[in-house]
Amino acid sequence: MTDAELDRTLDAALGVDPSPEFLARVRNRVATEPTRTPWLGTWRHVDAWGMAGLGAAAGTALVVATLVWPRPPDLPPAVGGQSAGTAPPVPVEAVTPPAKPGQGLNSPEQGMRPRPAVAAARPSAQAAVNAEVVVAPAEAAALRTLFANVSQGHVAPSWLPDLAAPSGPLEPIDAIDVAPIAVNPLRPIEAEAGVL
Amino acid sequence: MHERVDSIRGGIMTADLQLEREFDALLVESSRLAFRVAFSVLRQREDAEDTAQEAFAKAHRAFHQLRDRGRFRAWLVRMTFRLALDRQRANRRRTARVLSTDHLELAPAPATPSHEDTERATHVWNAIDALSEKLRIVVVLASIEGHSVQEVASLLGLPAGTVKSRLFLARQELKERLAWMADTGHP
Repeated sequence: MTDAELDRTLDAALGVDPSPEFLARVRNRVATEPTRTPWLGTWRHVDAWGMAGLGAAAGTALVVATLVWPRPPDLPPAVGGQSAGTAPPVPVEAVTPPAKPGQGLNSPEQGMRPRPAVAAARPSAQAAVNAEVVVAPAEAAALRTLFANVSQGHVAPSWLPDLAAPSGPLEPIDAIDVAPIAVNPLRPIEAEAGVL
Repeated sequence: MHERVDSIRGGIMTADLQLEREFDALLVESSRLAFRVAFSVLRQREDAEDTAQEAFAKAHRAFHQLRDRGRFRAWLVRMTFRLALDRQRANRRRTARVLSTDHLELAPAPATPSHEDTERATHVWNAIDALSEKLRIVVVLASIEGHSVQEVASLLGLPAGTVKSRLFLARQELKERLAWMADTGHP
């Protein structure tokens, strides 16, 4: 059998067309298929909706965390109405210690200015004076609640200890009886025969 | 807010409508291919149409997941071929069960003028059925709609060299099985 004969045979066997109503049947079948949820849309839309949902959830979580999370206590205003973080730079000359005569390269006699590193360290020293006092959030919240209740009369401050009053005499501590430790000298090791 | 929701809903519905149109265009383009693939396995028009229809229904259900529309025909061909093989196995089991319980004997075909054609077609189909599945799908796809080796490779997701060698082996087997037809002047 030649290739041409085989091709003719296969064409005759496989060259069958579907019936004219086949396409209509398939369309009908596809049309009666359960449709997808319109709000979900295509996968591309699902992707977009997923991203939008994640963004909304993250935003909601941030807002809730901001509202619920206890805030640190309000800090008293820093000297000059500025906080420690925004303290103005201190003039170098104002914080430079008086130099001793004959001190070397930084001596005023040689007209040398302080090194920049030293000058930069001065404002941090000033900031350390106004440093924020860190209080545990729970403790700060408890203190705020206590102050509010005392100021509104819900809690009588009478039971609070008077820290300003001098405390009473301390009770004497019982003597601690410690037995003296006896130290006995060790006996010399007896040398075995043939070892030493 | 309502306008925005309506706008989004309208956009999604427009996208769905576009998706349906895309699918319908591919359905028109590929319906004959799917039918012929199914028919090459099942050899019965009704069965082949049912199988191709089932394949299109499955394709429709998952069409929105198909990112590369250019792969639709290959996807459809593989799906149709698998469904047709499943149906063929089911048909064979059913036929065997009926024959074993009813002891039916198939009546010989009447000696009509088309008897020779029927006999010839039966032999051809038997030869095609004797091929392994790998060889059969290759020779079927190459024979229907005049697909080239490259097109068959693309449809099956195989290297062109693999398709070429399988096609050669399939044709050799068919030639050997159908050689007697040429000798007796059947084709």
